[in-house]
Amino acid sequence: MARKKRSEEPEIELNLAPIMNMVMILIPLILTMVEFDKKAVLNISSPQNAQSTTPEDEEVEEETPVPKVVIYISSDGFRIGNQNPEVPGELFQPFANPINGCPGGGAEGTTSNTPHDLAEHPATICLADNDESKPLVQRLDYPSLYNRLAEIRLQPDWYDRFGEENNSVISLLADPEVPFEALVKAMDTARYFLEPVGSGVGVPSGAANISSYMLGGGGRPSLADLEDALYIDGPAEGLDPVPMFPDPVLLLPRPGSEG
Amino acid sequence: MSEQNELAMSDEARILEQRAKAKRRSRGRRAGESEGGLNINSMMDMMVIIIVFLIKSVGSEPIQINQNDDLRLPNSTSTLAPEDMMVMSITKQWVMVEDESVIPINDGQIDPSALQSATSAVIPELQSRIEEQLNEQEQWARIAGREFEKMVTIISDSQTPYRVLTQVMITAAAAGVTNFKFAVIQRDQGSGVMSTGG
Repeated sequence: MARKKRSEEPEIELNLAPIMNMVMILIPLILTMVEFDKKAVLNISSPQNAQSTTPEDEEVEEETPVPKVVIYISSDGFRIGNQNPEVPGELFQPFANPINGCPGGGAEGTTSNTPHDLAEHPATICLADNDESKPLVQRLDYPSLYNRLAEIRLQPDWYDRFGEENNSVISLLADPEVPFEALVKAMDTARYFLEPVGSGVGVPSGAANISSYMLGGGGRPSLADLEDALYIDGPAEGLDPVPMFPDPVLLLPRPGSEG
Repeated sequence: MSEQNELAMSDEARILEQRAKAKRRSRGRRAGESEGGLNINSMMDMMVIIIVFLIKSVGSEPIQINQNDDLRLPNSTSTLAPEDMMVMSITKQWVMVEDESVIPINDGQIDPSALQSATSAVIPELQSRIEEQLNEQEQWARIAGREFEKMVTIISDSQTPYRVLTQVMITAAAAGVTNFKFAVIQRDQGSGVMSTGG
């Protein structure tokens, strides 16, 4: 009898080559799809929405009227206006006037309540940098914008009223050519209160010393003053910063006014 | 004589060969190595863990944005998280609804002939496309028993002119959209984390 060759045990050796192939292809593919930047969103109400959600308050006559702040961004700077006709023009005037160091200081600022007429008056906050070769977002003076907005927000008469939900809206209008990033940066500037470097101020209130919340210590602030300032911890638990104007609304340019 | 020697030698050689083969085979089986001796166990472990992590991050992104020269998002300090909703993109070349390019943008402007009229900023073609998408999503939400709110996430390039932005928003509002969210890249205020002052 022929000796049968002992059959080899069916030992299954795991062949890892195909799995390695798949893995070596999948990893670079998925790596290119993964975005390592963290995404966030800005919540912006459409203009129609803002008008319809403002309730018809009958008791408003008893309370102090609060300005509805408008920031108008154009290629020569910011203009700040007020959309609430109940606020007396003279009361809001000082905040619409050009800041120190900008042309038109001392001249009549805007008392118009139509945001679109803001363009007729000199810029409240002129450009920080007149170098035409740089993009607009680098030339606009955001730190001064923050100062002016903080000044309005901290006014003792209005401080508590601004804190109400309907009054925390800030409207933005821009020239047709203004890039989106300029608006985003303006919204960022207006969103939270900041603590100027070295000032040690705490949570603001209606009785706060307004000048201690200004960036740049009294003079015209620089970009570094804005970038280095920190958020102020909110009064409640947790790290939520204190909001200044957290609800932006985009205004529509006047129809037909393409420029 | 030499022939005998040769035969004997070849026999020996054959036996030696067979023994060597058996040794190699058994050695191979015992250690579990493939030819060449490369130990890939640790590499496989690492690959599997990386794969699992990558699949998890890609799968849990609510919106997927591929940034390129035509679409560069602006930075912002906003901390609101994106949600899963209808997406419109405004790149340097196109206005897109979901993945479909709808309106071309030439030189920073939407062609005035695409507008409804000289005084209205509504873009009819875009409006109908948005309405289609919204209806579809509404049906899905109804099937799933969820509430549906007409919201749109707009992914816009940072250089989009305000004119184009408002035209798109007006058109979407005409299609029934009530709330907008603009996608941005999150960055921290100033040099680092949000922290308390003094």
